[in-house]
Amino acid sequence: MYQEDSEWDDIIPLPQDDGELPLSQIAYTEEYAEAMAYLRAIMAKDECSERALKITKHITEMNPAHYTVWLYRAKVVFALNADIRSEIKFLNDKALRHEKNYQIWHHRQMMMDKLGDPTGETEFISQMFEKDSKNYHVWSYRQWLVKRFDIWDAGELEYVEKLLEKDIRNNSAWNHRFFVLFGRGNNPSQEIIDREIKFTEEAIFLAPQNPSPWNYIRGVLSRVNMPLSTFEAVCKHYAPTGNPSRITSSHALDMLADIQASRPDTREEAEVALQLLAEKFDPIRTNYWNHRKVLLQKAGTA
Amino acid sequence: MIFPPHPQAANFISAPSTTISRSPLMRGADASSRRPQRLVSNPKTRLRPRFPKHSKKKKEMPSSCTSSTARIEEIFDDSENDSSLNTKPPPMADTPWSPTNLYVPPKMPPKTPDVFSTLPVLRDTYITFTSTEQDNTVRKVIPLLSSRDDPLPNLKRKIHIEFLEAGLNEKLPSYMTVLDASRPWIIYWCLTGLSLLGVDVTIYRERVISSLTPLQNAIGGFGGSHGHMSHLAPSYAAVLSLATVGGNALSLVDRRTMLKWLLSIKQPNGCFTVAVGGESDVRAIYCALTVISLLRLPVPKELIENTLEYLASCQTYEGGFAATPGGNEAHGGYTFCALAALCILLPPKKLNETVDMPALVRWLSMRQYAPEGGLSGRTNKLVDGCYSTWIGGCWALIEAALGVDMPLWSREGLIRYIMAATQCPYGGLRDKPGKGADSYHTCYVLLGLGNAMYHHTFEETGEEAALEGEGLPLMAPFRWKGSKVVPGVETLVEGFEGWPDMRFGDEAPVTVSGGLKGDRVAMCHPIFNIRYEMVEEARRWGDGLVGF
Repeated sequence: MYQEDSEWDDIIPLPQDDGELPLSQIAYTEEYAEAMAYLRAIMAKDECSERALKITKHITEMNPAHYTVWLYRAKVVFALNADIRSEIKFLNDKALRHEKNYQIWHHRQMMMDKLGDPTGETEFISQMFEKDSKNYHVWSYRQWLVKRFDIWDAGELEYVEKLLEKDIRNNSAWNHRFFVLFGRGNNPSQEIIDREIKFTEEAIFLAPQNPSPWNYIRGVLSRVNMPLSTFEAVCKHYAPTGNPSRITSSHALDMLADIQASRPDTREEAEVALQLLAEKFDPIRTNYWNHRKVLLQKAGTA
Repeated sequence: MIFPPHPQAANFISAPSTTISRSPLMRGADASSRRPQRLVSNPKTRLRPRFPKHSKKKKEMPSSCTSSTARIEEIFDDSENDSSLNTKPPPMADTPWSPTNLYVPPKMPPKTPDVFSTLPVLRDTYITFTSTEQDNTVRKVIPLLSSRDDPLPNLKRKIHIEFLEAGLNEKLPSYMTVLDASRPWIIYWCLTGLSLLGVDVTIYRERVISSLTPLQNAIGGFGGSHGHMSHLAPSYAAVLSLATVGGNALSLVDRRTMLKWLLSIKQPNGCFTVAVGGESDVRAIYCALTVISLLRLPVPKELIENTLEYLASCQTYEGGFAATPGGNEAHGGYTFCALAALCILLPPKKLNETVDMPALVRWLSMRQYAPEGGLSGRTNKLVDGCYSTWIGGCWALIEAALGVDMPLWSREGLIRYIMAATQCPYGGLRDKPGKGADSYHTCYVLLGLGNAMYHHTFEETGEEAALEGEGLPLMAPFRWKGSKVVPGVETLVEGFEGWPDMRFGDEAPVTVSGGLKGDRVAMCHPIFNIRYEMVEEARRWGDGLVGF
């Protein structure tokens, strides 16, 4: 293909050297091997040209995980001052077809940084989340985008709520909520904290065994230096230690144990909660709960 | 001519052993009385485990047992009340002993504890996508973990070795071109997997050197394939592969250009980019520090400046570590990278001052699920065999940091999950039932099995301060020691005394390969994830270096 193309006449391809006794060789298609041979040749010259854009596009088509091609392509795009909007369009199609790919998102981030205008980005990301709403790379990219373009208040919280409405157990959405709330560095007002406490309570009501809101509220309270005991009544509601048959959440028991351990006069109650977890409600973590009990006893004697 | 024996004859052995073969069954019956009470309010939404129906593969049984066989089916069909599984002793044992009936039932493996064979006591009735996925996984895993014939299958060592050898020796099909940028990884996964299984991989030394030579670039570092840019991930895999085959193979690396290249990708904020112009995250730091310390590179101040602070700032509100400090979610892979990187810079005890330990230990602990026993990478995500390394590997570092003499997690759970649910019938290990095997999962599930078998300690010598000297090589990771003895754990798997050296049904420990017995895998270093012997050899290689 490249061999017969007059555009590539001046290039002497550099074939792959796999060494004399190769391990784990890959049976490349002829098409891939040829394209790579030409790529090596123009990369050796550090060529930034239209045909470099063509060949990198061709190779990412065959191997989207090829970081070298992506990094080289980014360099060429910038050197030629190529149209970044059309690059983004090209990336949209790629990302939707190859969900679990690091390189595409790093490339997109570089392009978007250069373009300086995030119009349409959150919409595209939402399209990605339709396929997998816990995609780590996409969430990381979204967090970068929000920070880079200062779009904290442009529908982020609403979007998180939409995702949580769909699946209250989507921990990535909970994590993003925390990011939206605290990512700016300064702590939000008491009014907002109260709203978050209420929001968490409602989420726990739907599914008391869902760890996400429990982790979230621990994070929020610790971040704003409020004591865990702010949540004590809720814990007791889902973990009435006096009536174990009505306990519906191991996470409530866990937090209750922490709250009670922080006060010398309720340490024994904390031990009861840990005992319930170890023996009945969360036996896969018996060792961990016993460890917590030992820590508690040490704190008691200290 | 030899006549085929009568089907009954094989089962008829001397009478006195009846009592012995009954004992594990009795234990099983006792245990069931401690079964926790179930609290499910809506039976319609409750997930019921489906047990395999054995009717199709009837085993040859003595004719006197046909009625018992019928009872087996009855029990397996009785999914409405699965507790009958635990309370009724296996039917074979019911056959009363009498002088005229000398039948002795075959020895049955011990019953799987309830925590690994029944649904958790607390379950929400509210259903979402996440809970459905979770239920689907549990439905596939329970029958494997609570199998009555073989709840703890043997390690299928031979076919796993064949699988990994094929990965090294055969040409990979063209659809694996996506791995073209990760070729040192394939070599590392296969070599590490094989060495865990007891294979002597030093025979691959020449070929490893030959394969990696074209990947080293003049500017320093290794690329994913010939002509690819230098990148930290393939550089990490290349250096570990060279260390794994020993015999000074590490001398292939140009240490001078490697250091130069590392300095060129070091960021002022403490992180590294994976390549010139590439992304940066804690994975990059772990790869870089591994290369730096194994190659005994001198460490100028700017090489690790702010790195400790960067790593610590990746801990999220959940307790685990994220890829970057930018608000990402806590994740198993990044948590291992962050902790291992910290332990290359510091003795593990110093973790206590560097990170929020109670939150970290809680989060790590929550990664283990029941009844699967396996580990998950993030809150509300599914178990996956590869987290046996990423999460399972954190425990060694945590245990050394806390200096505890009691177990913190369920090694038994992970062992049961790995043995019963991740071994593929045709070789290789996998993420979870329903997925296929690949060399990545094979390597990390086997490393995880090692994590469940061994205990590691850091040798405190009172010279800890010297570890942080300016300009000196990073020597802290060379002071770890592994042991078969796990404090506070006598039996790794309940009912299987002597496992892994003694497999169920073996009369005595059987040496299988490379001096390993039974189901044992080789002991690996908790930070570098290669065998201890090879880390030791790399240390000696480093001691012998003259100049730079």
